[in-house]
Amino acid sequence: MLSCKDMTKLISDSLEAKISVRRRMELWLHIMMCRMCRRFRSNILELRRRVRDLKALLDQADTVSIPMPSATKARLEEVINRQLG
Amino acid sequence: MGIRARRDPLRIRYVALKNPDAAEDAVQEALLGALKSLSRIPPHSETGPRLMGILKKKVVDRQRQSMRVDTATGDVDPILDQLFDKNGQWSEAARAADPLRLDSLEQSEFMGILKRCLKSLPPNQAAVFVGRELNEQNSEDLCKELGISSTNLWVLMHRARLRLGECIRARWAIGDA
Repeated sequence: MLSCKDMTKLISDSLEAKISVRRRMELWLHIMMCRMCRRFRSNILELRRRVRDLKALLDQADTVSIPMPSATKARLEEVINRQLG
Repeated sequence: MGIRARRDPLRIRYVALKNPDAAEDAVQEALLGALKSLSRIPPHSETGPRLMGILKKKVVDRQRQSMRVDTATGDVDPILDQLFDKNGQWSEAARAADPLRLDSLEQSEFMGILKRCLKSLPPNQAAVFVGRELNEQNSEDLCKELGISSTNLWVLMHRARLRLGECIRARWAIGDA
C-alpha cells in the first residue's frame, strides 16, 4: 500500500507521463477513499489550468511583466557603444 | 531586433533566476556576444530570435550552476515533513488547514500570488515548474537543458506542486495578492 506521501508523488507523476495501468488503478482506488489526496489532485490540476490560462492571456496581450529599467538601458547602450568602439 | 528582443530576455531572466542584477548581466553578455558575431550573421537573418537563443543558453548555464549548489545541499525538502507524518500520512496540520480554492481567485490576484510563490521556491523547483507548466517545454528537452534525469524532474515537480499549493493557500488566506 502506498502512503499518502507516495500517492501525491504518483498523482504528480501522472501529470508528467503515462503511468502503468496497475498504478493508475491504485491511484483511483486511493483517491476514492482519501479526501486529502483527492484534494491534492484537484488542486494541482487546477493549478495547471490556471497557469496555462495565464500564459494564454500573457501571450495574447503580448504583455511583459517587467519593462527594462531606463538606467539598465542606458548602461547597456554605453557598454555596447564601447564595444563597437 | 526591435521591442520584443529588448523586453523578453529580461523577463525570461527574471523568472528563471529571480535576480535583477544577474538578469542585466545576462542580457549584457548576450548582446555583446551577438555583436561580436554580427559579422558572421547573414544580413537577412532575424537577430531577435538569435539573440533569444544565446540568452537562453546563458540562463541555462547559470541555472546549472545554482542547481549544482542546490542538489549538493540536501536531498530532503522540509515541505515533506510539514505536510506528512513519519508514516507518510497527511500531517495533522495539513488536515486542519483550509482547502485551497483556486477557482475563487481572480486572474490578476492569481498572477500576483503565483509570482511571489514562484520566487519563494528553491531555484531548481522553480526552474522545472516554469519550464513545464508555463513554457510547456517537453520533459526530455527540459531535462537536457537543466542537466537532470527525468526521475529528478518528477521529484522536483512533486515538491514544487506541494510548495506552491501551500504558498498560494497561505497568501490567499492573509489576503496578500
